[in-house]
Amino acid sequence: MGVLTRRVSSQNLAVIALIAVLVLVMHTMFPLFLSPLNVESIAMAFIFEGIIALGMTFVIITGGIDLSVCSMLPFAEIICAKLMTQAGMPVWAAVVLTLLLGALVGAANGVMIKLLNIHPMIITMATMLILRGTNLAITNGKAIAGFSDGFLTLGQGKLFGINIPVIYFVVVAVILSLLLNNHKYFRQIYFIGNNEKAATLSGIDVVKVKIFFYMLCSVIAASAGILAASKYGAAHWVHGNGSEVKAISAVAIGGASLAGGSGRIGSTVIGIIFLAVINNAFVMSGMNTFWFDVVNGTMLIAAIMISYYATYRNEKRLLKVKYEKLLGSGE
Amino acid sequence: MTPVFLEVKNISKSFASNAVLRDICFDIREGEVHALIGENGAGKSTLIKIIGGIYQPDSGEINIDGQVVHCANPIQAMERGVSIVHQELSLAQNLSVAENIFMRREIINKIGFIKWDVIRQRSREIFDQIGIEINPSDLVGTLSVGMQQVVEIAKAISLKARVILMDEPTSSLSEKEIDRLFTLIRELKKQKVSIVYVSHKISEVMEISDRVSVLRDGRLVFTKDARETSVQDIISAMVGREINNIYPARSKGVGEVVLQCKGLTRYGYFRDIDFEAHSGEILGFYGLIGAGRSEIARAVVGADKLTSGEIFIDGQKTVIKNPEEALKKGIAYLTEDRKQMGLFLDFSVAKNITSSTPSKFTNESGFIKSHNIAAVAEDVVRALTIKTDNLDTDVVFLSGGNQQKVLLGKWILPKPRVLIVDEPTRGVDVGAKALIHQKLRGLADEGMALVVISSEMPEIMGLSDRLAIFREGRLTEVLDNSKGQVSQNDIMERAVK
Repeated sequence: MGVLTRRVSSQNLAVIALIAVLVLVMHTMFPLFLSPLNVESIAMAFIFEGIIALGMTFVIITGGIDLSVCSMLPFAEIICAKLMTQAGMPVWAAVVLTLLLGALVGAANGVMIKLLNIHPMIITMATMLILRGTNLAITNGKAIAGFSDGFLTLGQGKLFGINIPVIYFVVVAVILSLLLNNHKYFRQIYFIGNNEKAATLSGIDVVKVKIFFYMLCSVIAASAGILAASKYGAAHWVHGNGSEVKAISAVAIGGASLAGGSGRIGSTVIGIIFLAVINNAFVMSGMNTFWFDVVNGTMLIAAIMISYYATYRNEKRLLKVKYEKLLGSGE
Repeated sequence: MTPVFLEVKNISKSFASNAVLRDICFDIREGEVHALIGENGAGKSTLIKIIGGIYQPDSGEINIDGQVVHCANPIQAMERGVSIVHQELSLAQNLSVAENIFMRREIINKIGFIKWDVIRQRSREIFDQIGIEINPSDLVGTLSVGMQQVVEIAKAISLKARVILMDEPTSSLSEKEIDRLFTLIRELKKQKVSIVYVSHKISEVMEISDRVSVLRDGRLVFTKDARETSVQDIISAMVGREINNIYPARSKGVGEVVLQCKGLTRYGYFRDIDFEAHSGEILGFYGLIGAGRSEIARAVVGADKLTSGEIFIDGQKTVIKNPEEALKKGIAYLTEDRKQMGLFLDFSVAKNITSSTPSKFTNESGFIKSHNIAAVAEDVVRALTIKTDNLDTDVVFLSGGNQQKVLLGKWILPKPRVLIVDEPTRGVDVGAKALIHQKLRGLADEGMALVVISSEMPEIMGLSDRLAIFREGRLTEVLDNSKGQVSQNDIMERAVK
């Protein structure tokens, strides 16, 4: 109910329009753009960044950020791979253990941020380095392969003709969106991101809630790692490089303020689709894909400027009231 | 007589060594509007924060319905029927009105999902009850400040508040919105809800309240029926303190106009401000919160932008784009917020003192000549009797008074022709205060033009040769105080009406 009545933001509409125009232009220039094969490649090209962005959305709404996800992804790949190939664990046990380890790392992030009272960017950057170092050390920089067919199905298989990671993404997005839109516990993060002090005074256990959502973000990144290992058929420390920036961009392009207090799962999905389509447009049109990150970065700045504009407009409105009062008191 | 709902008994509160409230006794009756009036720093906000459970009193007790209660936090206070509507609203801008009203008390189904229809319906009922039309589905961020305040009040009503504490509720409302707020307050009264109304706008207070309590320097001066008191009465109570004549002598001779400002306006902050500062003279700026004194000073030195207005130095029209340029043209501004904006707390005394004149202490290539710094800083420390172990001590370890002297030293070192000092003795002990006063007078006698901004009435009366009084972004009047003839009532009348 609530989902339907709440309006789609104008920024979402603008991004959707931009995607539509892009698709239309690409389709006229390259008729193969909308072929099933290319649509599949659009969907799969950014699927892991997309999954990570879902978890990132919560952290950003609380007013935080998590850079460690980019090494969480290969960390989960490697741990899961080692548990299966070296410890001989069954797939399900390896997956569960890997996710638990992800939760632990997320908890460590949350606890350190609150306990040391240091900006999440610094703490999660440290975690990122620690995980990356661990990844390199425990693999000597080499890939781990040799997975069972059952495990490979997770990332490479299809259900009803759709790639399993895409189905996973959609299911997780729908569930998280329902929760974020309606569940009491999830709604708290909007109050925290809007005004942490007021949220504390209103009785929200800010510390606990934040730790929970850092855990959620890490677990989701770990799940992306498990799927990535399966899709690539190997675990390698270099996977996931730069995924944190793309995930953050997707959330911001979706219209969330990086200062916290706003953002929605649906908007993040729009943001990730936008990045995926642009990227594919580069590939299709034969442009140098190295330029893609330039577009990505520019879009991030544009998104941040738009969210600043909203704040600016609010301040302007306040000033107007004050000014009219000044005029009134003179005459 | 209507029964007393809440009673405050002998409450005292200090922050650090600073007594903010002393032995306050105060009560709130059912369904009354009780105004709490006082100058800046009289203790109004602290008192309502104690009643609302945000601060804990050092001594004394609070009774509700005759029972002693201890509210460790605002939630416990709310459960007992006490809600605060803050000056700065605390609503989540990106959430709906209904969700904000029912924050933490959401109505949910078995799996924890919020029943949106129900909380919207309940919100609508509250708005019907108070007779104001707001769509519960609207995002709070799309509402005007006045309407957001109504939402806060609706939240208090949904909590079954029996007393609503309002801190300066009209400070950012338009005339129309103030009227609507007053209608709402009258409606709440009928429903037996009490209102504590904190304000320094006496005309508003007289219009809306049943009883008036005046605070001064952390003490309760009186509580009276609004009908039995008058604006004059209240003003006298706000200001009626003994003034000891410990201030330096007045100006020895007023010189030329150094700084002249005409029609200074900053959109949303102040409007049409004209004043001039003479060499050899101290011009005082007085006003209550929101009068715009510091904002004017900041705009004069270019720290904020002016919307319009002209500035003349020695009769020459000039444009000042930033504080650096102001300093080059001979105007220095000493901020009221020494810790955040005035000093480099983790730097040494010497570095702080010389930080306003870096070019004097560097050679041609821009490298610092430290022996010069030490010599100059030594002179300043001696002249201002700054108590510090040595020149290399970090400023953060100095007392408030000595920090303030360092700040003063920093700004007189470049020898400005106009010095604007904002709250020069806030949080400073008595000894340092007297020394700062003498020094300021000394600077004027040497020919500097001084503008002193202060919320402390005795200080502004004791120091100023002329006194400019501001109210809500306007300059009400400039009074001649060359013989110390201005009274506290003269000032307060012009600051509040």
